[in-house]
Amino acid sequence: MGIKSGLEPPCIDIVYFWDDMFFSTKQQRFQRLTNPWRDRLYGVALRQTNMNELAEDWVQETLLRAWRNFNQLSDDIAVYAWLLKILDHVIVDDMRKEKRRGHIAPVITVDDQDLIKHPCLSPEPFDNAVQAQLNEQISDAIQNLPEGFQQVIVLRDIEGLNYTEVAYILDIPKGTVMSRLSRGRRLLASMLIKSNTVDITASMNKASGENS
Amino acid sequence: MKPTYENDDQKWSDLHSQLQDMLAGYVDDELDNDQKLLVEAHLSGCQQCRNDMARQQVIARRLEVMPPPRLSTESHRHIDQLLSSESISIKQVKQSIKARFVSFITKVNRLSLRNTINASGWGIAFVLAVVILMPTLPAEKTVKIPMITDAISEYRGLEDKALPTSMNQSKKPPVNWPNAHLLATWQSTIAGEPAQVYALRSGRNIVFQYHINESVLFRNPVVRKAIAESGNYKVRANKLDVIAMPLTDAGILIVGPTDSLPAPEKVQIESI
Repeated sequence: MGIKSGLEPPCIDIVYFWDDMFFSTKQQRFQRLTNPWRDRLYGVALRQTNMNELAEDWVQETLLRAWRNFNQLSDDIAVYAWLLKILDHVIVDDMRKEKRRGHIAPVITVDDQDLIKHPCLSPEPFDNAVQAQLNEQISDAIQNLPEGFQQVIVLRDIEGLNYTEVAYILDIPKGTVMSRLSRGRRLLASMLIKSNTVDITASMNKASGENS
Repeated sequence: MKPTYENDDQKWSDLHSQLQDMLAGYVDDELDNDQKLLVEAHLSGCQQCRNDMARQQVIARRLEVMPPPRLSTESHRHIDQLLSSESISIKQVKQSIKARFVSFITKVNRLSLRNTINASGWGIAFVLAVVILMPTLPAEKTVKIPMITDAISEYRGLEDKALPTSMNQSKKPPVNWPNAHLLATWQSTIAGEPAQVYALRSGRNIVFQYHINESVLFRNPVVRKAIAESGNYKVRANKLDVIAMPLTDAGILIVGPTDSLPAPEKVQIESI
């Protein structure tokens, strides 16, 4: 599967080509390819745990595994997608050790009574409510998402990868990426408005008071 | 059968629950045209799905601007250290393998330096000899040229039989070489054309000589090429050697056991 996308700056390829041919060692090449993605890997890791140290461990382990398997990286795979796939395996391995996997994800439909009855049901109030949320609140909500939903939301909505790339990283069909994303966003929407009902109602009242 | 109201309702409800899983794809423009049409048709009549789609758009937009957390400088340094120690350990393994190989070679050389050089010298000489001699040796291969296969099969067919007795001493073989004596001659067919066969005794071997039509000789491109390049075509098949070469306005095939044929340069071509 061709996973090469806009994740890499193409104009630097030619420079890298000559560099690879004549100057750099394997280690230098590895560092040059992976260093730009370290922080973003950490970001993805940190969305899946609330422990900074654990996220750092995952990133370290990911880069070590990547270095050991550096020859598996071929030209048609974007470096970042390849690293994310390794990170996913690292996290799965770690989670399996801790027996934290296997939670049954709740399925929430568009007909969910909480969603329908909520004052923020319609698009505009919902938009206001979500924009008003702090980054920390959103991060918390993402961390509390069930695992399958959490990964697709982080990879697609925060990291900006397309469905093909997400499918490659998580080893799932594109259709599954789509359904998990639909359900995950719905669940996240429900979590965000529920956690913030009081604030939103207050801000709505305030806004209507100002208008009158 | 006319669908009942319940059936339509059921259908709509099924579609409604199926399409909910495609709303993200619609928002992210990851659907194909058919799917997109289907979703759009449903959205036009379903407020709840429209609202859900709008909420998904809001969430996608909000998450897009989430600031990425950064690893501390200390963590970066720690990872650098880890990676460089890992690559050093790989290098060490490689170097130790290389060192072992070098020391093995040194030991071998020390043990018998002169022998090694002598042996390698003879080895090179042998390889050169093989390479130089190769082209002159006829290759053992499957021959599919009719004139060659005909000549070979006739030679093989007469190996354990008496040669034809219809001697005609007035006919002389077109090609002669020292120690070759005519035993018999008869009329045969090569590649569908008439040919005169001369059985000769050459030392301890029996060699057949075929006087063939010029058009038969030059029929095969491989033979043509070989004759153009070196004056003759040689082939080894079925433990026999065959040489084909041109005469003034005819062709000659010489068939005999391997290594029994005269060198083409040394034969004497009689005027016919």
